Amino acid sequence: MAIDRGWWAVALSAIGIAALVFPWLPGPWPNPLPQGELDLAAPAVVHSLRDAAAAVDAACVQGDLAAFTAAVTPEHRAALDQSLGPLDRVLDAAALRELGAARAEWLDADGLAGVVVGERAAIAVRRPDGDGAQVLKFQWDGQRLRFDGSLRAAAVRDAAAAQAAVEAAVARR
Amino acid sequence: MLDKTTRTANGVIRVLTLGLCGFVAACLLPGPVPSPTPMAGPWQSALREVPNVQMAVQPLRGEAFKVVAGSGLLVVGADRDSRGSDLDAGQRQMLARFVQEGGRLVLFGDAAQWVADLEIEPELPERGWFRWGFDARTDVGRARVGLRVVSGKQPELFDGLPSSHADDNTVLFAGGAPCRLRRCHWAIGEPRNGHVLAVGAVELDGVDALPGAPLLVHWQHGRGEVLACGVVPELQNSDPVLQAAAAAFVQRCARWAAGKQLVVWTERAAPVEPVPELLPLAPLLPHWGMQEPSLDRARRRVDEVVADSLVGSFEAGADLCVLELTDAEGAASVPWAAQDPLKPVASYRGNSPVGWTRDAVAELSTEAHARSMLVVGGLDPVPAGSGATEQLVALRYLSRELADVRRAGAAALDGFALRQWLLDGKGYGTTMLQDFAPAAALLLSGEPTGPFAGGLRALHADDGALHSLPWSGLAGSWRRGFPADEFPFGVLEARYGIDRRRPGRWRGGSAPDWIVAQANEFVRARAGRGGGMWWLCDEAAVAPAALGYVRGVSLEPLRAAVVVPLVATGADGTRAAGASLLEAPPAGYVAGGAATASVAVHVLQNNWLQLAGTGGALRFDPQGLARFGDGEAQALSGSFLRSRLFGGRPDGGALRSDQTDFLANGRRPEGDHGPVLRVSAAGERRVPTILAADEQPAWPRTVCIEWNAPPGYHELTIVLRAVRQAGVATVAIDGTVLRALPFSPTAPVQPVTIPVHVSSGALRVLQVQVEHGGSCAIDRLEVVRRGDVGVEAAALVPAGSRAILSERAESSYHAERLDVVTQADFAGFVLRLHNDRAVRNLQVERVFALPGYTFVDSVDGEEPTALRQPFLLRAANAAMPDLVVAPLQLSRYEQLRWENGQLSMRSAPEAGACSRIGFLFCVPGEGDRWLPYAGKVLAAVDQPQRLDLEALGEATLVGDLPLATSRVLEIAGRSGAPFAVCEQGWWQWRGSQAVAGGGRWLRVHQAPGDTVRVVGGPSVLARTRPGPGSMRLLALREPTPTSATVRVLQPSRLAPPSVVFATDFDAVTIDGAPWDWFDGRTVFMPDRTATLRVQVQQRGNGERPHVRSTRAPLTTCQYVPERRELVLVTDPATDRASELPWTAVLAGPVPVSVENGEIVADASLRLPSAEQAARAAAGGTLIRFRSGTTKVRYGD
Repeated sequence: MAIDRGWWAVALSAIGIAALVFPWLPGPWPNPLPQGELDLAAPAVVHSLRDAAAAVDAACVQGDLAAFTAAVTPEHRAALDQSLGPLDRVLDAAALRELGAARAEWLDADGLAGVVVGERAAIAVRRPDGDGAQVLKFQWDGQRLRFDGSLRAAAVRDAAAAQAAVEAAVARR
Repeated sequence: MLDKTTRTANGVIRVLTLGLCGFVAACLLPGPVPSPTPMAGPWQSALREVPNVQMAVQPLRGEAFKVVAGSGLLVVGADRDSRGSDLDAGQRQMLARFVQEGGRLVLFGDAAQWVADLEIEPELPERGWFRWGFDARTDVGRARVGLRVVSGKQPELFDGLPSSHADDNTVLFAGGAPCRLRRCHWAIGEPRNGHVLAVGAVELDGVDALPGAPLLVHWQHGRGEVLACGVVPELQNSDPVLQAAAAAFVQRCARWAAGKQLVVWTERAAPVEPVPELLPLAPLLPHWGMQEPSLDRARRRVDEVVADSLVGSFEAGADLCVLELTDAEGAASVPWAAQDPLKPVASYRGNSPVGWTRDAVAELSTEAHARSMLVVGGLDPVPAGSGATEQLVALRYLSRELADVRRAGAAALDGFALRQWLLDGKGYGTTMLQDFAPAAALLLSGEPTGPFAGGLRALHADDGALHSLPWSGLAGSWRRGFPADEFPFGVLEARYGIDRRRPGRWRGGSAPDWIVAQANEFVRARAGRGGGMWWLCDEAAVAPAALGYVRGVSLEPLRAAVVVPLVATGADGTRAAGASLLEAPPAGYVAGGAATASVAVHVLQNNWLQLAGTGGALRFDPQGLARFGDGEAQALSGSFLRSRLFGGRPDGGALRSDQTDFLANGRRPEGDHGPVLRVSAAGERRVPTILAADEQPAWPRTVCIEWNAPPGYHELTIVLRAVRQAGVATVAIDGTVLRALPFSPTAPVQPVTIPVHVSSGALRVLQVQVEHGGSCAIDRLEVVRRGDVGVEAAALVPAGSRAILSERAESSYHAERLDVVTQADFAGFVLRLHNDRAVRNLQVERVFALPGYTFVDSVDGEEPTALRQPFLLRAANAAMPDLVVAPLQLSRYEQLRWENGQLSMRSAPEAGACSRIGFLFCVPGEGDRWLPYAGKVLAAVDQPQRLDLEALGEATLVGDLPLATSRVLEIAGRSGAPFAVCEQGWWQWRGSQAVAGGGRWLRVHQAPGDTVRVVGGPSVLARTRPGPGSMRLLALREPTPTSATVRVLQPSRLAPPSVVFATDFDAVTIDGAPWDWFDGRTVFMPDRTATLRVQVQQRGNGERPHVRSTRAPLTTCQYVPERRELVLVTDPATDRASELPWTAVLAGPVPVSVENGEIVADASLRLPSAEQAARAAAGGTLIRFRSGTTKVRYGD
């Protein structure tokens, strides 16, 4: 079967244009999350965050260090190293399994507030038993959302306090 | 028989012969048998090439000596203050004859004055101290001293001297940094009979001073010659140039003098004055107090000063209060009317709107005297011009207005403290004061020193500052030139802030560690020898923490238990930062010479132990003098406690990464700033571009940034760039200083990383403040969390009889608190471990590093690998103390383990669990004695026994230990006064420490079998008790309303010891002899250590003539009714200037005459009005008298 010369020309043109255009495309993609206060009623946003947290949970359960490193920010990875330091331990599969899957399920809890500022996002959810709120942090790395840590905010009881907590979590970084 | 007689005769002959030989030898010797002296060695060494040199000790007055005609004598003057002639008449005669007959005499130092004593030279030289580098006039303080040759005679003395100065005619052979040496020179009149070979040459900080007075003089006297050099060449100077010049000059002088032989007299070793034996808990220093700043009457009333300051200090044992009578402009608040009989001084400044008025002084003095406290007026400066007459008259006026004891009684001041005064060798200042207040003290503080007859000297904290740096205070080896015998009093620095009121004289910048260092250094040299200290403080509201430290270290001088961060003396503290701005920081400035750790380290210490945080070094002073520098203390452990966590599981829900850039929200520009800018999420979010010490409102001095800090270990990176001038800034978190940072326009701008531990995840305040200098820009300020465990230390109880260091650690696994508790004068501590939170399965292993110790024994014979009862460790080095470790509280599964030479404890912490372990260090070899009782002793340290003073305010305490211990009692409620404590029969009045939650801690001494009695509350002041200024000076045995045995523990120097009896009386006996020195209910006694039986009675025969008030050291004070004479005898050994009389106020009828004195006419005192004169007369009769026996005669 003979190849049409016209198709060759089209294909070569496309390659040429691609060669011209691709170098000018931005490497990292912008944060797909909407900037500002998060609409916690919008399932797409929460699902994005939940997916990011679930990837971390999965890596922990499987003890997959490479997957865990890919799913969290370098800072969070460093924080985990710091945490293991006092026990004279290093981050390995056993440590990941001990960390367990405890992130994604937070995002099923009652959301109090969320915010996106630049590459960073944070969401506060109500902890059970009136034990304040849990603040989860994420960061867009240009390709994907990575988990950036989680902390208890014991003093947070309402949406206003939660809003302040999430703003503090993403601020001045 | 004959043989026996012969043998006996031979023996006698031998003995006689030997005795004769000895006698002849003794006669041939030029003086006393040489004995080792401190100076002999270097001189012997320097003169080893000079033939026939013989070293000897300079004879004392009255000691016989011989000098061989034709030989030479070289005398090295004493290196201490001396008055009068060193020689008696016989010695003078012998030496004069020696020279007359051809001897050559060389006199160094103070001995140069001998030329006048020997009547070779009619012009008397002046002796004194040359000092440089002891005050804030200089940053360097280096002086080099020597001679500038001005004559071509006696060239052999100078030819070939090694070069010590650019000028060939100058030789420098003494000096240092700082420099303090004796100098004897002809400053007033030149020598008349001698030929001046050289004048004094002085180089100050590398710059030549003007040529001085004649210092090296030569005389031809009879057939002999004399050479006098008023400075002793320093043969052991640390500067090799000076040392070489000194040796060469001394050798030339020795060769010049040497004939058949040369005898060298060096000074006798100064006798070591024994410290008086004190009762176990008697204060080592008899007086302490606070300096009250000028009274801003718009902001503070006198009753508030009394309530806030006076009573608080009084409760802590203070007996002194100094009122700052002059404001920053040097003006007082005591106006001087133009029509006053005492003609006003034109330059007098008496209308300050801020200050202590007559009424305010009277009100405060009355309150203080009611508490047996002394009140002194501080004059910095005297509020009049600088002329001597103006100053004297102004002092006389203020004495008349504020200290006249006859008119004001209890409202009168007890003296004045001067900062600057004229050279007063005759005691003119004392004369001004004592005409109104015969018992009052006149104190002069600080440099420059000079003659000050009749007064007391005090060192002053301001002299610890450098010319270009404000941090003041004297401690350690920093400017150590204020000897205790010359400076029995001290003004110490407790101003946290830099006092900027006096331009060009910014002072302050103290800190807890500097307060402790100053107090310890000051008290150590003066323990048991009398004297006192008072503290310069900010207003209480400015730095309340300073008060806690001041009261704590003053309550228990030298022995106090303290917890201090090393803000001033730390390796990265304020003094180190300041010193780094200098080209050549003077030695000893940073920490007084002591070894230091970082600022953030909280040190727990008393006089025995120093623990630099639980993880730091543990040092021990075997003499209990709080000396912990390198080479002074024993290092018991390099790193006392290490904790290791294991077995825990990380908590994913608590993991966070944090990096905060505090400048991310932009910068606040110039203008509209107060001294402090607070940055928070809810308010101002921008950090100011620049911080400046003194540029408000353009820039603030301090920025406080609210920081939602997660627990853990962080690193703060800061870049400060100098904008205008150099300076020092501090970085602190919640007020705890983390680092002091210098900034300088000439230094490279570099980022500095500061470790920041956060152990509680609350809202914290990060503070950056310019402490001193110009201004700096904050170019970078960000923090990164680097570790999971944050440990913060704090002083839970800062200072006093007890101190508690608290370290809180928190991580994602656990939260716990380690408290270390100790008490004053106690060689041990208790470690408390509280667990607040722990993850499941977490275990903690704690290792106590005690290298050199081995396990010896335990109470129940427990195995060393499973210890739950007290056990004994002993060091291989027999000089190190025994250690008894007492587990006071352990959980069921905890035990201590001694294995492989280390002590450890492994535990599985649970929330709420608490363990307590005590450590008691004992005299080497005595651990066995303490082992059975260590648990009880340490438990009492951990939990002071609560004591209820019942309705009568009294309680008794029976000891159950066979060993003497000191223990702290916790007494409920506020006492309002010191407690009266009876230990082994002696009552002492003792201050106490405030407990944060209410109540007081009182330390008592419990001897075996003794019953301690404690009395508190108002009844203390209603009993027979120590009088004004005697609270820390006396102990009383069997005090009743009419009698007591009084033990004067040490001299006061400030006021005569006195006892206030609980009843009226008109006759007193001391040790059975009549004693007529009393005022109202107060009996005064001689100011010397003694035990006296004092009895009073009411005879009702009318008022008996007696002394109401005097400062004279009376040894006899007795009215003889038969002769109608009041006989006063003073100790002739007093060092009072002969021209300066004593004064006294006599109660009773007006005397008719005074033998050895005079009655002072009230008219001569120029009292303000006739009414006031009448009032003065009603207060008694003023007399002046001289030392010796004085007889005051009364008519019919």
